[in-house]
Order: sequence, then structure tokens, then C-alpha cells
Amino acid sequence: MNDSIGNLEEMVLLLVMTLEPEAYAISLANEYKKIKKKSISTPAIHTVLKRLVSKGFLSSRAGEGTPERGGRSKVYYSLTKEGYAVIKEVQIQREQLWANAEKPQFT
Amino acid sequence: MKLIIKILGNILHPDIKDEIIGDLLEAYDQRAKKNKFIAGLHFILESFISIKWGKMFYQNERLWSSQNVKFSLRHLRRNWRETVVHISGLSLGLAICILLAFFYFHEKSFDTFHEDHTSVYRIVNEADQGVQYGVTPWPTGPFIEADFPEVAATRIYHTFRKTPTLARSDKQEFFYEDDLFFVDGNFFDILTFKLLKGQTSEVLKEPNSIVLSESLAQKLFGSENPVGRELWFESTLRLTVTGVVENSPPNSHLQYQAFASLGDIASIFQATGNRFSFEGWYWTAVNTYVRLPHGLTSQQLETDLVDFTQRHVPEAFAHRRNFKLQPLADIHLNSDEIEDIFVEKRSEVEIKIAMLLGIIVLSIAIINFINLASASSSNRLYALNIKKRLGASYGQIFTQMLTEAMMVVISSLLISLLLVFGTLPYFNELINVRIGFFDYFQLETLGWFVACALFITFVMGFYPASYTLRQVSKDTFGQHIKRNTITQKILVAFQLFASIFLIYGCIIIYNQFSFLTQKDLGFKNENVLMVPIRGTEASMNTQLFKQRFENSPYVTNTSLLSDIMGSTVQLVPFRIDGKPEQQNIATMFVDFDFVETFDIEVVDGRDFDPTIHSDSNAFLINESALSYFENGWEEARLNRGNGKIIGVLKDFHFMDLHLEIEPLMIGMSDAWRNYLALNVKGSNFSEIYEDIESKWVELEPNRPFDAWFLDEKLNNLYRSEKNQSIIVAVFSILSVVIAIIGLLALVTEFIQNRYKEIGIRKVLGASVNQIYYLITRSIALLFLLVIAFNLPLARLIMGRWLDNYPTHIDHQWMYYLYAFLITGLLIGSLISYKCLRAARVNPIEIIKDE
Repeated sequence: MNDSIGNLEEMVLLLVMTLEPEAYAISLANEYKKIKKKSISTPAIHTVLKRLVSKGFLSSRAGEGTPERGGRSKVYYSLTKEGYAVIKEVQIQREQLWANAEKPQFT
Repeated sequence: MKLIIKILGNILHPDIKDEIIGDLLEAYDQRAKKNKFIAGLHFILESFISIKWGKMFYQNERLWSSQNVKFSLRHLRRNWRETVVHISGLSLGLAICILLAFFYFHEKSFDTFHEDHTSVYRIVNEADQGVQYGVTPWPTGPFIEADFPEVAATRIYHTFRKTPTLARSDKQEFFYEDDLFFVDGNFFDILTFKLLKGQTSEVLKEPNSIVLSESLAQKLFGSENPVGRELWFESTLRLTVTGVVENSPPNSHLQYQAFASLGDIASIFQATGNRFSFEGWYWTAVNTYVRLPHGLTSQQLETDLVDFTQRHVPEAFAHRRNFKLQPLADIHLNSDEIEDIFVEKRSEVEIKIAMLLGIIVLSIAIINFINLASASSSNRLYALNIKKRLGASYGQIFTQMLTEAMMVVISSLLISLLLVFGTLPYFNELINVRIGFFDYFQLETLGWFVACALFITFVMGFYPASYTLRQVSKDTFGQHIKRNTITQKILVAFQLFASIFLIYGCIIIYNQFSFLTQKDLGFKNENVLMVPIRGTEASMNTQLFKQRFENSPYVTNTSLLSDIMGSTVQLVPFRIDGKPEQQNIATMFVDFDFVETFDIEVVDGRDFDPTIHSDSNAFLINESALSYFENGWEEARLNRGNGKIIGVLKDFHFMDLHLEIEPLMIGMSDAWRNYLALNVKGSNFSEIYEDIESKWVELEPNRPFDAWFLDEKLNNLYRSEKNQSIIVAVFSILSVVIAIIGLLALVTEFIQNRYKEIGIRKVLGASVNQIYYLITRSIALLFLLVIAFNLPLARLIMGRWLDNYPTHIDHQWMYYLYAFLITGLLIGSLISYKCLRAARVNPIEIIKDE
């Protein structure tokens, strides 16, 4: 299994972590927009979510339906152990890099 | 939106279906709070993207594989009866549609083959009464060239009311060549017909040069090189062949055999015995074409031409010389209102009707396929369900069904092309065009063709496939689900609608045609032999010829006249006492025997009388012309030779029936004797013809005898109506047959759906009649509903067609009733047969299964 993750994938994993246990496509898209100041289409979120599930970083469970969804049930996502490990590792690598770097002199 | 959700539901994998649709809907809901429209657009876009990725992730299997072809072939072969019906219906429909599309594009392509054709215009001469002529005065072209040096102008002259003769200079074999045109030297720069021999700017530079078409050159000189050879024109003028031009393209409004130089007009006139002046602005006889330089628009030139008229045309008739510009490509289709001499034209309504017919026929064929395919889908639910159970995805089943549709479409297309190829010659002959099968097979059209095929496949395949899928997804092993009856009814309604409309159209066109050909023209046209005599010995020596002919035992009377009765008549300006302006009135010039020869009733006054000397200046008028003489025609004085009016004739159709009866003056003049009409008796026409021909040859040895019977000529005028009615009839019948096959399939399915119900009803004591009533009721209601919508529309469309003809049949309820009865009886009897069979079935047969 491919362990590496892309930028958007990392973002979505982080969003899932913060929104848990209410993380599903629409709430993720809304949160994404709030933080990034940039909207994202529903299918784009879906694509990333499915990819992460197939990589084993996310797990999904069926939720309740609401009237605006035409009664169709939501699918909630949560991080798996591997998923957590992967973003944690990214975070650690970054912190190391930041710690070693000096502030560049802008000329 | 509901539709999209449905589609998504059908296509997406059930595991992810709810999540995706739910999320999309919620996103829509959020966005809709701001702007509904944008939210809708987002929804549609996102739905499509969802389909795409949904497939990527949830179907590891391929959607389309070559297996599909195998399965489809197997299915089509197993149900070969159905396949034959599908393919034959569709290929017929397609063939008709392709033929009509050929026709449409052919007509639209007229004159577009000329280089830079958008900058070429024809000068149209508008008279003050709104009458437009395609012909202009002689000086128009040269004066335009002088006043606007950047504009190139050319004239085309067709020997005035006379079919000239040609012959090789070394052989005295004269023949008539009607498609010979005299043109200015720069002709080929403006109308760029391709020269096969000779230089564009050289060939017509010298006077008395002639360019032959390929076929005429072949006819005259065989395989010898014609360039440099000489021809006799009218046995007095020598013309030298300087070039060969391609045969006239089928989509040219000008159908020619030869072009000769207008360099020496006087000698041409002399040769044809024409004594008019070609210098004044009075006589309009030539078509003038101009090529505008880039940067000069037609509007600009039109404005300038107003001043031009003021400058050059004498004041007396300047108001009748308003020059307009007509784009070259418009001449063929948009000249209904313009009076022309040699222009090939067609009414645009005609080709629109052809296109409409094509679209109707194709729709019928497509709907038929949809009906038949969905009707038979219940038979294959078992197979599809098993496939599904064995692990096929919805997408795979969907694409397999689309593959089937595609195979039907492709094979129908190939068959229809063969059909078109085979029938094109007959089609061409019927509607009097020359369309080549390969004319329209360029890359662009092929692209369109493929696009259309894909589109038809999609339209045809989509509904049956998604409908079948819906049934599969309901997981109904063997259980029968009723079809969505609304869709079914709409489809049936359309079939009925189109069938009634086509039959109605057929009846109207047929009636109009027989009306035109059988209408009493108001004058005798049977057994009248017309001899063209303009510019011949006979026109100089009329009395001698008349006497000779009258000596024949077959000839009863003869009359000289200026025009062919029943086709067209020249307009002549008159100044009438009490009217301030000059009036253009249709005028024929005849001799003393005219009224007797054509057996026209004199309703008031008297006929011309050879014993009264002043009658040679007198006029007869028709009833319609009475409107000019409110104070009584007896006292009226005319400006022509101080003539007076001596009698009134009953109205007769002196013009073609496409035009209304207008006021007519009939006078006497020597200069206008163009035809000699012979009233013949007897039944052996070839004997009569030979007898008269022998008399002609005695007097005029150099000129072939070229007479024709008036009624034949007049019937030819209505040939296009006749052929139109044949084509519409054939195509309509074919498409009605296709429609009925489809309806029958639907009814069969409809009855099958209710088989069990019928059985139970019968067990409970319903009679055959009651069951019959039960089944047919809904179809009958639908039929009535269709009629309610159809009637106004059919009347409107056919009304517009009929409006093309000033003399036309009126709408009668009877016609619609016929259409209604024919369709009703045809469909009714078929349905009744099916229904009664169902109703008669022993109920045990039906319900024994349970």
C-alpha cells in the first residue's frame, strides 16, 4: 500500500481529525472553505475521501439522514490508527525542519 | 433535478449512491440559500463529476469490453424477428431522412460554389407598384461600371422570347439551343464557372465568340478539339468557339449550354430579328450581376444607386427603375416575388416542409425503436438479473444495452446508405434536381454523420436501457413490473400525432395538385398545337403561313399570339383617362381569330372584327380589368394608338395557376407575334404533327419544326406539385407503416401487462365486449386528445403551404375527417384484433400459473 499522502489528502485528514465525530463530506467542505478561504466541490472531497479510505487512513460509518438530503443517510469518516500515524509523522518532520532552520534574510 | 437524481441512482453503485446523492443535495441546499440558479448549475456539474469518479473507484471491472459486442450480437440474433423489425424500421426512416437532408442541403448550396460568392449580387429592378423584376435595362451594367469603377458588372441576355438555332458551320444541321446566353466579356470573373479550355479573361473578349459547355462541345464536335471551330447562330451570324466551360453545376441557378459574347449586340439582334433598342432604359431584358470590392457593402451601393437612377434614367419612368441588390446565394430560394426569365428557383417553404417531413419520419423511427425495445425488455429480465447476480455491475449492463442500440443504429445506417444510393436517381428525377451521392461526403459531413449516429444511439438506447436497469435493480426475479404509463402514453401520442399529420398533409397536397391540373383554365387548351415563330420567316409572312396551315385537313383555326396562354404574360404600361399614373397591365397581342381559337366567352361588347378597320388599334379586356374603368369601359381612351376598348372577355387563367387572375388587355400588334396557335382535330397526333411539319419545312427549310401541344406544356408547369405530392405520399405512407408497427408493439405489451387482470375479470363474469371496452377506452381517449392538439397545428402548417398558391383549395373539415378516419380505422382495426384475441383467451390459460 502506498503510504505517501498529498497536500489535499493531508488537509482532509487534518479536517477529519478536528471535526470528528461529525466529519462528513459537506461539513468537511464547509470547514475547508472557512480555513482556506477557497471553496471545494463536493465530488472533489468525495474523491479524496474514497482514496484515503482505500489507503486505509480513514474508516467510514453510516449516519442518520436529514430532510435536506432527501432522507439519504450521511457517511461519517474517522481517522484510523494508520491515518493518525501518517499525519503525525508529517507533523514531526516539519517541526524538525522548522527547528533547524533559521529565519532567512530577505534582501 | 429529479431526473438527474434518477440517472445517478441508476448509474452509481448502490454502496455509495446514498452518500453521494445525499451530499450533493445538501450542498445544493446550502448554495440555494444564496442563489438558486447557480446552485442548480453547481448541482448539475457536480453530478457529472460524481458519475465519473464514482465509476473510477467502485468498478474495478471495465465498463465496456469486447464481450459486449458478443453478447449484443447473441441477443440480436436470438431475437432476430425483433431485430429485423428494428433495423428495417430505422433504416427506412434514416434513408428518408438522409434523402430529404440531401435535398435540403442541395437547395441551400445553390450558387455557393462561385469564388467569393458573398460579394456577388444580382441587380433587381423594383417598379413602383412593388413588382420586382430580375431583368434590368440594357445600360444598367455598363453605366454602373462607369460610375463606380471599383464595381465589376456583367450582363446576361437570353434571346428574347425565342429559342435560337445553332449549327456547325460545315454542316447545315440546325438544332434549337434554348440554354444559350449572351454575356459580357468579364462574365467569368463574376460568375466563376470553371473553364476547361481557354483563359477566363480572354474567351469572350472578342465579339462573336462562343464558349461551349463540355456536353454541347461533345454533341457538336465529338472528341475533336472545338476551339477555333465555327458555328452558325440563326443561320446568319458566325460564332467562333474560343473555349469550353464545365457543364452547368446542378446547384447553379443558371443552367447553361453555351455562353456567347455580347460584344456586338446589333448583329445579335439582327440575327434574331429583334428590332428593339438596346440603348434606352425602357426595355428590361438582361440580368445584371455585380461583384463588389471588399469594403463596399451592398447597402452602400444600393443607396448610391438611388442617385444613379436619378442621373441616368429619364424622368418618365425613373420611378420604375429602383435598383436593389440581391445576394447571389439568395437567388434560388428567395426569388418568389421576383419575375424572372431563366432562373432556376424554388420556394423556401418547400425545402422547409421537406426538412420537417424528414425530422418527423426520423422521430417516428426512433420512438419506434424505443417503444419496441422497452416493450421487449421484460423478456430479458431473467437473463439480466442472472448476469447481475453473477457480479455484473449496473454500468456494465447499461453499456451492453447501449452497445446493442449502437449495433442496430450502425447496421441501419449502412443499410439506409445503400437504400439512398439505390433510390437517389429516382428521387432526383421526381423532384427535378441533380444530386450526386458523393456530393455531400466530405470530411465535415462525415463528422456530422458520426455525431448524429452517436446522438441517435444515445437517444434510442438510453430510455430502454435505464428502464430495464430500473427493473433489474428492483430485483424482481421474473415478476413483471408495469411500465411508467405516462412515458408510454406520450410516446404513443406522438406516433398518433405524426401519423395523422402526415396523412392529412398527404390529402391536402394531393387535392391541391389535382385542383391545379384539373382546374378549368377558362380557355381551350386541348388539341392546341403551338408553333414558335418569333424571328422566323413565318413572323414576316403570317398570312401565308396561316393560310397554308389552314389548308391542312386537321387544322380548324389558327391564331397568332404573343405569349403562351396559361404561363406568363408581359406587363405593358398604359395611361388610362382619369388615372394620374401609368398602369402596368398584363397585355397580350393577338390577331382576329384569337377568341374563336381559344373558345373564350365574350361577356360584353364584341370580338375583334376584320371588317372594321379601326379594330387593329382596339383592345379587348378581361373582367378583372374592369376595375380600371369605373366610368364604363366603352368611353375609355388608351394612350396606345388612341385605342378604345370594344369588348370584355370572361376571366381566364392567362397566367400560371401559381398566380392570381389579374387585369388583362388584349390588343393587336405586328411586332409581338411570337407563337402561332393551331387548333387541330383528329385523334392521330403523330399524323397531324407530321402533316403540319411538312408544311412548315416547305416554307422554312433552315429551321427545325419545334411545335408542342399547349396542354402538355401547361401540365409541365405543375410537375413539381405532382412530384412533391408523390414524394410526400410515399414517405408518409412508409412512416405511417413504421409508426403502426411501433403502436402495435406497444398495444401488445399493454395487453400483456393486463393479461392476468383480463383472466380474472373473465372468471368473475366479464363479457368479451366489456373487456374490449376496458382495454380500448384509454387508447381511444388518447386518440381524441391527440386530435384536439393536432388539428390546429396541422391546419396552420398546411395552411402556410397552401398560401403559396393564390388559387388553392380551401381547408375543409372533410380532409381532416379523412385523415382521422384513415388513421383511426387502420390503428383501430389492428388494436381491436389484438384486444379481441386477448379477450377471447381461455382464462384458465392465464391464471393457471398461480
